[in-house]
Amino acid sequence: MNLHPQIIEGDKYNISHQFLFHTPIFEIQLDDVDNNKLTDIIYQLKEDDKEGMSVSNMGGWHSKFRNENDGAESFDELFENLRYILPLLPFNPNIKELVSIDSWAMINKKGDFNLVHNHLYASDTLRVDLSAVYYVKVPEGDSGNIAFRDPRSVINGNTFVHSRYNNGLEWEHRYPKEGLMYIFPAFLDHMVRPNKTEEDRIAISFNLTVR
Amino acid sequence: MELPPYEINGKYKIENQFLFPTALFQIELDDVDNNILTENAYKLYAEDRGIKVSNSGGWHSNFCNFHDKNFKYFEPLTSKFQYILPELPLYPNISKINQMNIWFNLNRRNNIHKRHHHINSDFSGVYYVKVPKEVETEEKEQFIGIDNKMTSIPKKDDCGKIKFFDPRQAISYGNYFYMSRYHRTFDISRMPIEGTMFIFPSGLEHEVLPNSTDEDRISISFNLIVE
Repeated sequence: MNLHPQIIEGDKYNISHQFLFHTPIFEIQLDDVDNNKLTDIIYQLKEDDKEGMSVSNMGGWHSKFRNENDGAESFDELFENLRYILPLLPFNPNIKELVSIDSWAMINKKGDFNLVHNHLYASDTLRVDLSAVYYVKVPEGDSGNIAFRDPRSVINGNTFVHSRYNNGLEWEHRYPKEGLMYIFPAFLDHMVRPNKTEEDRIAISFNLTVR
Repeated sequence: MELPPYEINGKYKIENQFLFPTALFQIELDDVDNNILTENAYKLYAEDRGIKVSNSGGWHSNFCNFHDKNFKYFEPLTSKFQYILPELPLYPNISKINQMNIWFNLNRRNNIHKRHHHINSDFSGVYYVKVPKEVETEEKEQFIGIDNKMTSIPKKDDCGKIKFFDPRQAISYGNYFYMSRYHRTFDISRMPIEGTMFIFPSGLEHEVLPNSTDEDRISISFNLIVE
């Protein structure tokens, strides 16, 4: 996917401002998912498996990984949504098939957060192409934004350009909202900042292998 | 630098948001006398044995800065910098050049510049003084694209594109699906055009492909430390 240049009209010359090697994230607002039902399902999952697992989560509850053949029918509605959305994304050739989904639920209570991580090495049997997160329950206030890290290692050494072109920012923050989904390349490092509210923040994440 | 998102039609609102782009600025200068710059390049070539840096073959003049006696050879170009640099979309804008290193490159047939960067500077740039025309040759089969498919394409011999390499970890980490089906390339090339300048972050790796013509390709490159 190529981006069109912006033309900067200078006093003497025009400057074609071209954008190379951007990294896309896809933001989708799903308006027809029953989040109350999903909330109940996830609390029941936690009830059945209090321990969960420890991965990037610092404090929060992270369910075991679940795929379609492994008791994840309860997320079927979201899987169906993913099957609808993925072929629309600007890949060439377009995505034809969702080969595998690993999914897990996350409950972050006050103070819980997720360390910086990516999802490339999430599975030793399947490659992960894209990752996604869907927000089931988002308390009012600051329940912890997701932040994506600039994947260009070179910014560390090109401080002038970084500070004056990127505003010195290494992170792009996005704020959770109920019904919102982000899909992003599996290599993209990200973290979740602490939930500062008194209520639970619930999200479902996905690792997708596609064809 | 925030880019407006692109909306994808469907049952839901889907936004493609563009994060972390790397800037490349292309400027067409229509008031630089390239004949004088060409003469200057050959004058300097006659007196400066040049240095070996990224150039494999080809003549790379010694680096010049403001105080160097040879700086005058570059002035038809450097006198224009004041109209370009403050216009670049930086915040705050560039107000001063603190240091400049500038040099000529003369590439003859098969000469190249190996992959390199200029990380000790802020911005780097190249200006094309003399660009031999492309020469049509017969159709050739070539391995092209990320899938390395053998494809028959009409072949033109050119004097050497500049190729910029993707600076992201996606490649070294491996995210083949994403790279091959979204970007469909690991690098982006630009064809040189006489009178055109490219400015880019100094850390961005690049190389110059072979001059496949029989004429000289002359460019001026520069590194800037700015304020």
